[in-house]
Amino acid sequence: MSGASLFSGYEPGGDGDEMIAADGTVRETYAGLHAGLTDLGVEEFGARSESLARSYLAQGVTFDYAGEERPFPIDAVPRVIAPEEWARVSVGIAQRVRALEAFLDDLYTEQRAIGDGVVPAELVSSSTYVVEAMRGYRPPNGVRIHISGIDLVRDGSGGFRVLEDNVRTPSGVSYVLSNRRAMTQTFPELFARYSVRRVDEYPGRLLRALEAAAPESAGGDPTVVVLTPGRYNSAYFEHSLLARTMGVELVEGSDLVVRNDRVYMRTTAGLQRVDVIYKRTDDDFLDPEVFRPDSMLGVPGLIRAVLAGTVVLANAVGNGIADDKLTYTYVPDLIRYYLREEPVLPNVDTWRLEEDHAREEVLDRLEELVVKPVDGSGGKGIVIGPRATRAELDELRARLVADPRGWIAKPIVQLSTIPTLVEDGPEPRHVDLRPFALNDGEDVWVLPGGLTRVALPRGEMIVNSSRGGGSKDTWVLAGERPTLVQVPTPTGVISRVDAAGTDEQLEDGDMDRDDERLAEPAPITAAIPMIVVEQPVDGATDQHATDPHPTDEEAR
Amino acid sequence: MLSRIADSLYWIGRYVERADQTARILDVDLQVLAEDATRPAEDRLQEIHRMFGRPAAAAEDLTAQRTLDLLATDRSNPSSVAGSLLVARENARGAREVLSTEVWEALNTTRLELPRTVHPSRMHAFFRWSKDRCAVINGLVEASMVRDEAWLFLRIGQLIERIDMISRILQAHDLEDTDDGAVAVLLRTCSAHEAFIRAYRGQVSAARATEFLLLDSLFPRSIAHCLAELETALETLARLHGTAFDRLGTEDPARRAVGAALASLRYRRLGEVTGNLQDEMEHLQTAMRWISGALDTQYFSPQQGG
Repeated sequence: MSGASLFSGYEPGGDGDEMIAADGTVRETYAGLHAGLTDLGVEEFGARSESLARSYLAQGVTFDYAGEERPFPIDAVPRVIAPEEWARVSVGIAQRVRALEAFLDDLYTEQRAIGDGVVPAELVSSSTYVVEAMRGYRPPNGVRIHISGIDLVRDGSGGFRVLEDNVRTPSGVSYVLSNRRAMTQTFPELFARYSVRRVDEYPGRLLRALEAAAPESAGGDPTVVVLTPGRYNSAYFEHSLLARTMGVELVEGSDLVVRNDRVYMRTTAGLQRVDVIYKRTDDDFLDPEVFRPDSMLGVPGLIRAVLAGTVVLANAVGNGIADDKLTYTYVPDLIRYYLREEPVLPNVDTWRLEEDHAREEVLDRLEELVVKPVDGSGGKGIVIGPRATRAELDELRARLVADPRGWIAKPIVQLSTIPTLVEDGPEPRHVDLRPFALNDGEDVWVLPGGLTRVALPRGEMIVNSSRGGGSKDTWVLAGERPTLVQVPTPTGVISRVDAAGTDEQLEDGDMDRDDERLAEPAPITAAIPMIVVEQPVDGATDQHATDPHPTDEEAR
Repeated sequence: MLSRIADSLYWIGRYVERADQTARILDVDLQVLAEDATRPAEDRLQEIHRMFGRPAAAAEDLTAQRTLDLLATDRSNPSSVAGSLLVARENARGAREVLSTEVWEALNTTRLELPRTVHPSRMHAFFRWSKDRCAVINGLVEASMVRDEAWLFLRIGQLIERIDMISRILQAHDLEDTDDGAVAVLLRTCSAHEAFIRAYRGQVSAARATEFLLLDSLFPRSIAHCLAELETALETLARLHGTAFDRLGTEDPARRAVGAALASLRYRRLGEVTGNLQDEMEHLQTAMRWISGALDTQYFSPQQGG
């Protein structure tokens, strides 16, 4: 490390920084990156960072906010994730997706989980996300969650925890692709120090997963389209990029028409049949016959066509019940129930107020927790303990006692930071991570990387683009040796995951052959900055939906 | 190809051409204000406004700065240079999946660099930049896009706009009582001066200039050349859709209109055409509107059965 370097003034502000520990030492995973950035020097790094921003402007890498097209900022310091840690994340994500698939299938058919008392019937009856029209429907290859984005945060102990599941229309993968492209162009020498796993196979895999979902009537060459609400949607850039990189049409509702329970698109050569629709619209605006009759958007008859089996929607209509904030609290149980495995990735602790012991604990600790209504959306009705007045807490207490069923509570979770370039140089900024998974009916494949979102304003805890959030390229390092991730199950079957992320089932007896345990990640403890962790806001799957932080605490 | 996307591509072609041609016209015609003091500046400025469909420009608009504000940099006017480039870019944003990345980025960076205002002393730099940007966009369309439907719709839009613009320029530069200087201005406005000089060895006359702009088959901005190219493009498009037949004559309304316009230029005496140039050009513009409508009916918003 040279003298007056890029990081000489960097204060990690506790032990929650992923690159630099509290004592100033660089963590092993980041050693190569730290050295590479230091070698570049302060000026050169600044110049490259500017050129990175310019290239995004030229390419039109944007998101739309309040009708305005804004560049999506990319920070020049990437995030690095060790192979062993990724192996665990990858297995944990795939496990979660499989459990949620099983849950959705069960819910829309037999409802065994309710009968067996794993989830209460009220979970379903009280949800606005269950679409009655889809009862009894089973997609051709059984997949409902073709694409998922499971949000993770690093907690105080350094491990990843699941913050929320997005199995309706998770967005952000386009930034994973464009971030990598821009970073390799701008910082080629940094990549020379590592073996970073590629992300550019995503579009091809996505197309294959969508084709695999096609109804039999499609024949050998199904027509796949991406359905966008239009260019004023916040994620339009992504819709366009995915259509372009898959080589399929990007359609709007008005481009589609249903005739005799089949979906067609209007082309210059007349109507052409469509077999699979990767929808990027909310369910409510899909089909005015089933959802909102007042909606001018949507394709009349689309759901009839789905039920007639002539077209498949990805993700399936009605998935909202699986990423509902109350359902989230049951996911560990669902994993045990359907897969007979222990959850690999823990949830952020959540209390359901309807449970007596939970309610007692929450009522005791109201001033340090976040409490929110189960049916609240857009941050409505949330009470943030440390910020609330005595009178507010007293009022809340009365409401919880009167209607415990309507509330959940969460602790305030500490989020890790990563050095992020701001005007005065690198400073710690809070991050989360959204890995993306594809289910093609055979396997759940997890894209090695994912979207690291960063809260750019100093002290900002909300990693949301509408609050000046940005992103970082996320590097999953390729490992040299196979790594074993143990998924404990009652039958003793474990999943073996090599560092390349493919997993296979091993029988019991194989265990002793290469019993390399997952290396524990360097502990990240007691990060000072805190974030309020919240569940997704209804219908806001395109944005990270954490709620305002109680205080304006600085990052250090 | 989606009908909506075909429509967008057609308009990208038209608007890029409109921006390019508008910059060329303003560049020359505003320059002439300084070169030639024999006519009142207000008359010339009024003529420029008329060419762009503002028949009765208010007196306060008849300055070089106001003309620039309205026709060069006004972002809300889809006939101005800036307005045309913005509409082209907006259309491109809705059709990115069929454009090459290079074409998209050229349109996108053009928008980012657009100035808000231009002073008359800097206008030539702006016009040069505008023409250069259009050349880059057109060059990338030529060099990076497959010659499929997408390319054809862009090309058809470009040709229709070019024919429309050249015919308006011919209307605006009344050649009845013109001197050689005015003829030279006309040729320069159409970026045809040098080509004409080479073809006719320097002898400028109103009749020859008109003939050149109407009929020269080699000059890429002559009306005859553009009509012939348009005919070819429409025929290729029809063949892609399996509706072209190997015989003379067609049911395709767009191709009939373009064929009729071409034949009426090709097989009549020049005097017959130039004798009533105003009406002839009016007819040509009507034909272009008609072709545009026919494309719309057939490809962009067809009444399709099930």
